[in-house]
Amino acid sequence: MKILLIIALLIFFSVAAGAQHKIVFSSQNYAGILVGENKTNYQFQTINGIRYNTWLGGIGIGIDGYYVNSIPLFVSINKELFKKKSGFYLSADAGINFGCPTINQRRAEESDFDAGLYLTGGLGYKIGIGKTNGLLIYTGYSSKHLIEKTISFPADAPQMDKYDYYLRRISLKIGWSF
Amino acid sequence: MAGNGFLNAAVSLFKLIVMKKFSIVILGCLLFSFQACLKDKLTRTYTILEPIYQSRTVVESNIKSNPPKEIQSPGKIFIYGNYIFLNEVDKGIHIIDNSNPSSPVAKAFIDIPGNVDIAVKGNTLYADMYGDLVTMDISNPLASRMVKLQRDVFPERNYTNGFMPDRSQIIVGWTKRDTTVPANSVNNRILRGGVFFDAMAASSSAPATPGLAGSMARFALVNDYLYAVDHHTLKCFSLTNAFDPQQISSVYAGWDIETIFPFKDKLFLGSMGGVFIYNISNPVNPVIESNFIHARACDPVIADNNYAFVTLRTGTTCGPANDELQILDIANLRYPKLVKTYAMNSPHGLAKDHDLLFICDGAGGLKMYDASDVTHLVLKKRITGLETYDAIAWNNNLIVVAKDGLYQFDYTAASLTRKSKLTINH
Repeated sequence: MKILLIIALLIFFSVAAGAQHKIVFSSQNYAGILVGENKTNYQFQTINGIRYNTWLGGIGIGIDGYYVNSIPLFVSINKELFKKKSGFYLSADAGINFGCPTINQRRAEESDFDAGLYLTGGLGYKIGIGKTNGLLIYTGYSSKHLIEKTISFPADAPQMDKYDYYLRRISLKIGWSF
Repeated sequence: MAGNGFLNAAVSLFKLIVMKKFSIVILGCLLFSFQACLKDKLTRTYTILEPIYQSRTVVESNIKSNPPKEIQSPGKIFIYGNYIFLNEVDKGIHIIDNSNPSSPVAKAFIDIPGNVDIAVKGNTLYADMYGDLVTMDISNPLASRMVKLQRDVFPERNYTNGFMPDRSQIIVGWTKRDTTVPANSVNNRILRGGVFFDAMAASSSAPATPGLAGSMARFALVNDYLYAVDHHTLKCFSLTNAFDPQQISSVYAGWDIETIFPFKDKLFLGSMGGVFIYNISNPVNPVIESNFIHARACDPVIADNNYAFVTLRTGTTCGPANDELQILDIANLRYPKLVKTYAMNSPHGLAKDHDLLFICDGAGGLKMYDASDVTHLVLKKRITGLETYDAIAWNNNLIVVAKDGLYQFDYTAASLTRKSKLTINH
């Protein structure tokens, strides 16, 4: 499996090296809010990867404060709709969410949170600044799933309850890319 | 011409109005559907336990030595001659032939639903069956038979969420099924709401409180008397006729009494908040003497002439505690003094033979200490890779109940050598 992955990467880079467009490092960094049924809350993200022509692919990590604090870790794919310095782009993220709740966000003092799925998709607009930089304005739909496990009774006779949170919200972000 | 122009303009305006309205309708639909997509959802998954009943007649007819069964959920252990009596929590008692400690063999099983405690005096075994006291003739362990059953000697088992068992029958097992339901609104973090059939059973791998002697139990043998506790009462049974325990006294002992531990001419009655000390110099008339706050109903205790050794651990029904071993000077039982505390991993049962102290430290394994100086315990040997619950130490033979097996070790002051393992199948 590892060998196949290495071969695929080598092929990709060799093709890309011979391609007309360069592969360059690119970073997008966002701050924003998440609006849903529950209280609106903050989000921060950084996505770092490579840009090839109108495509950007990278790994993202962030902080998601909606209902239960969590850290999403995801793969992100962006596609600029027009090859212009400024213009619209589509974005899709998929990954997992690691819960890191505060005490008040737990149902029980010793509950555990398991990671759940994280999905986002939306439309952004990039205002090109300078040669490679850009101001980003983004809106999209985001969902995160978290699992909380609580033991209701002492460990000698455990009673395990599992709570699944399916949280759906609108994501509004502004950011900076370079 | 002018009329045609006017008509064309009107048609254009009409189309524009229709399109706009149509657009607004589309936008409205999108917004509506989008709103539905923003609804957060919470579900709760829990296990429903339902009792499996059997008639008393059938259950009582089966309280005897039956073919051996797999060990799955070990509890208290008792040694009788060449036999080990090992409680299978809530199921009964394994009878293990230990004539060759290097190769113990399970020979029989006594089916006693709801059993968590056993005691042996001579050829008589006493066991609990939920709230009932069972007396058995074990003169031939492989052909043991029930000789008496006394009802309602012990407190009724408590179940959660209002479940009340059908007392005309006996619960012999539980069926489990997971169910998922919509939970309280995402905004409501209250843990429980509503009533549902969700009963707790002291089954699975929950270990009973441990030990051959000196640990907290529901009843205790002292000479020719059997003492048993319910939530409020200390009962005394005469064993003049071992096969026919006769209740001869009943003393109000306080609230939430759960366990009993004999020590010399005293009984320690364990509650959630501490231990009450009763004097039984007159065996049929226990008299309260003092409180012992350093141990609770959940805390295994052993004692020698000078010190009490208590293990406390987190995750018990008695509430918060540190995972530790406490050693108390009990020269004056009215005023026990804490001598030293030793941090542990997850201590359960313990055993002592002369100056050797054995601690079953849960996932921390088995520890053997030189306890000749209690203010300075010296760890002589530690066996890791075991999750230990209970131990009996006698005559250089150590029997340990662990999560995956019943182990036996040879021990000396300087060594601890494993000699056998009887596997437990979960």
